[in-house]
This record gives sequence, C-alpha cells and structure tokens, in this order.
Amino acid sequence: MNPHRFFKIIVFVFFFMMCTGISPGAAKEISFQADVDRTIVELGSYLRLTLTVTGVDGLDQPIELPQIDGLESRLLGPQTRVSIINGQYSSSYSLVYFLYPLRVGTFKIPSLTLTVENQTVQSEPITIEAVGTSQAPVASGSTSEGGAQQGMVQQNLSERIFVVLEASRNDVYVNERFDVTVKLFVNGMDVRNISYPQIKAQEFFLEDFQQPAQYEQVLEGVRYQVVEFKTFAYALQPGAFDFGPAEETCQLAIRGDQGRQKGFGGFFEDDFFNDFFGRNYILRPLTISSKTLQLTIRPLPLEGRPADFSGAVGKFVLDAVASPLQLKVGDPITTRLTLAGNGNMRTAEIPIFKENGDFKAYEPQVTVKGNVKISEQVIIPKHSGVKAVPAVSFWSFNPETARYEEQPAGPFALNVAPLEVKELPQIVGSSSRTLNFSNTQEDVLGKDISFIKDRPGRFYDRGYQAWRSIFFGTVLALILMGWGFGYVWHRFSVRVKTDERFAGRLKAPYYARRGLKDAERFLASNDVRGFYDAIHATVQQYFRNRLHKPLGSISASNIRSSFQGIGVQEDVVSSLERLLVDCDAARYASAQFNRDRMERTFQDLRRAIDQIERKCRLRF
Amino acid sequence: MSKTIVISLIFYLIFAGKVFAEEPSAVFAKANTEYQQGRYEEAGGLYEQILESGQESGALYYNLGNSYFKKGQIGKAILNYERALDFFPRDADLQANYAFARSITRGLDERGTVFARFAKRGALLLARNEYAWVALFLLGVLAGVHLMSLSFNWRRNLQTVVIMVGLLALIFHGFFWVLHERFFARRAIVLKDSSVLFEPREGATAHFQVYEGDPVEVLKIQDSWGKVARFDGKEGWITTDHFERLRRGKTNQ
Repeated sequence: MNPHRFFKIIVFVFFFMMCTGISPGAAKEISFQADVDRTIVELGSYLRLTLTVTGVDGLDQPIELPQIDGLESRLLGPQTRVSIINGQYSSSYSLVYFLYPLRVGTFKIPSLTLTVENQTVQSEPITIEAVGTSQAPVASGSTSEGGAQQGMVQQNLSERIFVVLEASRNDVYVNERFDVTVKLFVNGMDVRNISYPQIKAQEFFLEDFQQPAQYEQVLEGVRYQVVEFKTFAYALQPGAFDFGPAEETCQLAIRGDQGRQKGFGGFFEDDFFNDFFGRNYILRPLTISSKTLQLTIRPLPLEGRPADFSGAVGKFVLDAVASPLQLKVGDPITTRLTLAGNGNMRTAEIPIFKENGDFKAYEPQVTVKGNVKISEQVIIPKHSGVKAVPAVSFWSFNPETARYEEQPAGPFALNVAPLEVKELPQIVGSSSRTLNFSNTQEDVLGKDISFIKDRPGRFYDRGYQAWRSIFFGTVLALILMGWGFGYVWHRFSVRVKTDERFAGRLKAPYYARRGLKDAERFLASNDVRGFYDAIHATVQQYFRNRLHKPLGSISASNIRSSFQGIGVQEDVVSSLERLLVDCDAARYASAQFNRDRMERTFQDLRRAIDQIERKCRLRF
Repeated sequence: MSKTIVISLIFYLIFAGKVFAEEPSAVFAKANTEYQQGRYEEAGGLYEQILESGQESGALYYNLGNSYFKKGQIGKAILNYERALDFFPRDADLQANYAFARSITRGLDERGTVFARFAKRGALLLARNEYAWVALFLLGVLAGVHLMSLSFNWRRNLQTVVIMVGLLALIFHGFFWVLHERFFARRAIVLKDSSVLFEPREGATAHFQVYEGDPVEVLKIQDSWGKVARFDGKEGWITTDHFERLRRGKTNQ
C-alpha cells in the first residue's frame, strides 16, 4: 500500500475516534445491577427480575440464579442495548427472569457476583414478599405480558409514586446559594401532566426551576422512572427553619371502566403497557408531598466586613472594559462591568462610577443574564488632566473560606486630548462659553448641551397648523383669484388686439356717446351745420364699428340692407334713412332746419342707437 | 373717590399677580430663572405647566429638553428636542444638543435605508408652518411668473418650461411637506429600556431590544400595546407607557 495513503487512513481513523469519543485503548466501566418490577407478589403470580450488566455487549454464558427455597425462576431471555449519545458509546446486556413464589413468605435474592473481562462486579440483594390471594385483592381485567391473567398486588401508594426533596447543604449562610433538587419517583404507573413542584419555604428565595431531566433509577432493587427538577435557593435570614415540603401535582391515567367500578384503589393495579393503544383513560389528579428538611442559616460575620460590602455571598469574578481610551475632552467613554459568579445576582450590587471633578457620569444600564450581571455606563472626562478611568472593586463573602474577598477592576489609563479651538462652535451657547481661547494655556473644557433660549418665541395653540388658519385661506384665495383674473384679462386684451370686429363692437357705444354729446353741444348753440356734421360722423363711426362696415357703405341708400337680419324695427330704419338724408341736405341748405327739427333728429338717432344696442347685445 | 381708588388698588394687587403669572411668557421667564439656578426639576415643571395650558413653542420644547437632559432623563430630552425640530429645525443649538443627547444613548445609530435618510433630511428641512407659507409663496410666484410670461408675450416654449418648473417645485415641496407631517405624526421616542415582543401580550417572545431615547415609528395602537417599527425595519409590540409620540395631543392610547 502507498505509505502516504496508509498514513491518511490512520489519521482519519484516529480523527474519527477522537470525534466520536471512542477510544480503543480506554478501559470499559462495567457495572452489574439486579432489580425487580415490584417487591410484593401474590401466590400464583410472578414478578420480573432483570439482571443488567452495563459496559458489555454480551456474556459468554447466562447468569445462574442461586436456588432459593420456595421460589422458582425461569429465564425469559437476553436483551442487548447499544447507544451512542454525543459521541459517547455505551452498551448493556440484560437477562430477564420470571420468579414464581411457591409459598407465602419472604424471599431474599442474594447479592450476585459476576466476573467479566477480568473485572468482578456485584449486585445488591433484593427482598421480595409473597402473599396469599386473600391478603391481596386481585384487579380484575388486568392482563400480564404473555396473555396469562394474573393480578397485580396492591401496594402502598407511597411506594409506587413519591417525591424526594434534597438540598445540597443543610447549613448555609444568609444569601448563600445552594442547590435544591426535587425528584419524582414513579414505578409502573402512567403519570401525565407533571407540574413544576411547589416548595413551602417562606424564609428562602427560590429561583425558577430548570428544565426537568428524566432517567431511570433503581432503589432497593426496584426500578423507578425519575423526573428531576433542579433550582437554586437563598436563605433570607439567619436561624433554623423548615425547608419544604415540596408538593408535586400530576395526573394518573387509569382505564375508564376500572376507575368507575373500583374507586380510587383500582388504578394501582393497572399495567403501564396494557392501555398503550386506544383504551379509554380517565385522568385523576394527584398531589404528592415530600418530607420537610431542616436547614440552619448562619449570619454573615461582622468581623472583617468592609464598608462597601453590599451583601453578595458566593464566589464572584469582576471584569471591566472601557473604551475608547484615547479621546478628547467631552467625548463619552463606555464602561462595561461584568460580574459573574455563583451567588444571588439580584442582590449583588455591581459597582458604578460616580460623578466627580474629573468625570461626568450617567446612570448605568444593568442587565442580568443567568449568573452574569452586566453594567454599561457612560462617563465623560471633563478635562484633559484626566489620566485614568478609576479602579472599582466589588466585595463579596466567600462561604468556602468564610472571608470577605475583594474583586478589583481597572484602572484604565486614558489619553484625553484637549478640544481644538475650531471645534468650539459645535457647542454653541454651552456653559463652555467661558473657554480660554489661548492655545498656550490648557483648555479646561467639557462637552455639554447648549444653554436654554432666553425668549420663548411665538406661542401657538397646541396642534396649530398654519394652513388651517383663516389668514392662510384668505391669502390662498386671493392668489388663486388674482391668477384667474389676470389670465382672463390677458385673454380679453389679446382678443381686443387681434379681433377687429370684437374691438369695434366694444368701441361702438363709446363713439355713439361721444358723438351724441358733440351733437348736443351743437344743438345747444343752434349750430345747424355743426350739429348735422356731428350727427353724420356719429352715425358713420357707430355703424362702422358696430356692424363692421366700411365707411362708404353707411349712406341713406344702403343703410336698410345693413340692418337686414338684425331685427331692428322698420320705423327706426326709416328714421335713420331720413336722418342721413337730412345730414346731406343740411350741408347745402342749412337754413331750412330749425331747432325743432334738429331736436327730433337728435332724438331719432338716440332712439335708433338704443334699440340697435339692445338688439345687438342680445344677438352677440 | 379715594375709596374707589383704594378698592381698585386692592383688587389689582390680589388678582394682577395671578393673571400675569399665568401668562406663558411670564412662566417661561420664571422657568428660565429656575434653570439658571440649577433647579432643573422646578424649571421642567414650569415648562410643562405652559404646555398643559395648551400653548407650545419651539424654544419651550428646547428648554424643556435641556431640563430633562440635566435631570438625566435622556429619553424625555430627545423627545422634546425632536418636538422642537418641528418648530425650528435649523437652529444650531438645537441640532448640537440633539446630536449630543443621541450620542449618549445605548441604542443603535439610526441608519436605515438611503430613502429613509433622505426622507428624514427632507422632513426636517423646514418647520411645520414654514412648509405651509413656502407652499403659498411658491404658488404666488408661479402665478406671478405665469401672468408675466403672458403679459410680456414670452415664447410658448419658455412659458411651458416656466410653468413646468413651477409645478415641479410645488410638487416636490408638497412631497417634503407630507414627509414632514408623516415623520412627526408617526414618530415616537422610547422612554425606558424595553423588549419589543412578537405579540401584544405579557410573556410573549422578545423580538429585539429598544433603549431609552431610541426613535420608533408607531404603526398601530391596540389597547395598551403599540406596534412599533425600528429604523432597520424590525417590527414588534411594546406597551404604550414605554414610548411617547412626538405630536402632543395625540395620546398613546
């Protein structure tokens, strides 16, 4: 084989063994255990004895039980279990026996000795009791493994299910942490909905229980399913106190028909495996109490107690971090103190930095996560003469050494630079207005907020919005109206300039008024020629603009055709014809026109213009 | 006659002081005096008294923010600085104090997306009422320029360009105005450290942590719970007593 490839295989195998935790050279731990499923059995029935050898995959030959007078045994068969959990390989080999009592009495299965792989292991002795059928009522309907009907002996409830309360120590200091364990032991019963235990301990503070663990344990030869709850407790005051009992609430699953017929005692004869599939269960609540423990709580010694001791008991470690350590005056430093230990973190007061002439300190933010308490605090150096973040210390009482111990942290060397002059405007109006701007002197500066405003400014009603005010609405309306008016005026102006007919129509009344005024003046002065010239000019100008006709077309001979379609009355048209004829005549023979005739002419023209204006206004 | 004068004088002495003391300006001046003498608690109380009377101003919120800052209540200080931004967002003192207060909070820096940063800058360009008056001014200018273009007979293309530019200016201004209103209507400041939960109930799973002074956007109020969003888009629920909205008058409930 290629040596290089062989080396790679060796490395791989070694690496695999390292990862899986399988060590070929490691010595196996072998143990031997004997247990029975119950310790009381009725005559004519049997109990199961299991002999388990852990750490082996099998035995060369079965274990032979010693002959016991009045007790017959039969080997049911072997069982082998192999498991790899988290890389840990384990195996066990079991032999299951049925034991049949042949008489009433007490039998003792002696301690068994076994030699496996050059190791000698020994089991614990087991005592069992065989009773007559009259002494033990048989639970009807219960069936055993293998189909043979047999009864299950009623045992005391406290032997089948019970709670054990344990404290890691029975002699502790005030506020010292100790472990509390509550174990629920169950043998051959279907127990459900197990709640967290309740412990009566007024003089103690109890943490919340951790997630429970489940495992099997053999007690006095009987195998139990165990549910274990763990937590921590702290004593609140010195003295001798009861601790417990612990109460455990759960529900027992029993078959419905049995529970109804046999009452409370019936379900103890139930078989755990019988009702695994689809039977009708009734859940009955059950509360079990443990025994009470007696604990002695000692006071903390006064001797050697430091002044700033806050009451923390246990072993603690204080760690401190501060950053940045190179900064300018007024810049914040974040300090982070981490206190870890096995004491009561709720009462352990983590040290804080207090404000002084060197630092401005803000309130710390403290968080507790399990056995770690973290304090984050912002401190700000006030001047460049600050050379270090001061050291802090934490005092605690160590119950193992019975002494007060100090955990120091820091100091942290600082390099605080003074503020540069150009940076000053960043803090406009601050208390640092009294700065010395001389570069030759050391600045004594701090970063702070700017000062308050002297004047309140304009007060508004709360929630005031300018756009909702009347003034705003008025201005907006004026702008929109002005815009609209300006646009319309522009369009009008453009039309006047570009639309001659439109402009003429607009000018016609003006010319008419002006002409009539001139004619009235000539009429007043009795100037016949001037009057009729004015009348003629007015007619020419008015009708030229109003009817958009050339000047030459306005004459006595064609004026009638100009009014066709307008709807002017016939007498008005006739009067206009006559008026134009008079105008021509007056130029050459003005003597024949007297004042009355002039006035009639004037009135005719005024009436004709009025009527034409009305008609045209309607028309246009 | 003299009797009437004496009675009038007595009434004046009894009631004049009270009337004047309740004038917001007088209370403001008194609060400033308290502040200058280092009695921040009393100063803050007087500033709050003006607010409770239904009056508000930018300087009032600014000074109140200073009082809270001096008392170490960073969350309240930032809340009032941001309220003052609604009145004079370009004030140098206010910007400096606000930035300083934000810098010493424990929360994350408010980063957000490019649009979010743009929106915040746009929202804080002008004060609340400035947006209204500038909009009116722009409308007036647009109308004037339009009429002028007609009057002086500008070329058609030039008229179109002028009108389009004016309209775009109005639209952009309106957009920023909406951003401003949205910013102040939805924004709230966290007043005490809290875990933001996935569900509005006690014991629900914590989603993220907010700290005193952190800004959040209030999306919804349900009973005593508020659904808030952080600048990075994370959303969750906290009780309404853990934050306060910027716009006074809108209660948390």
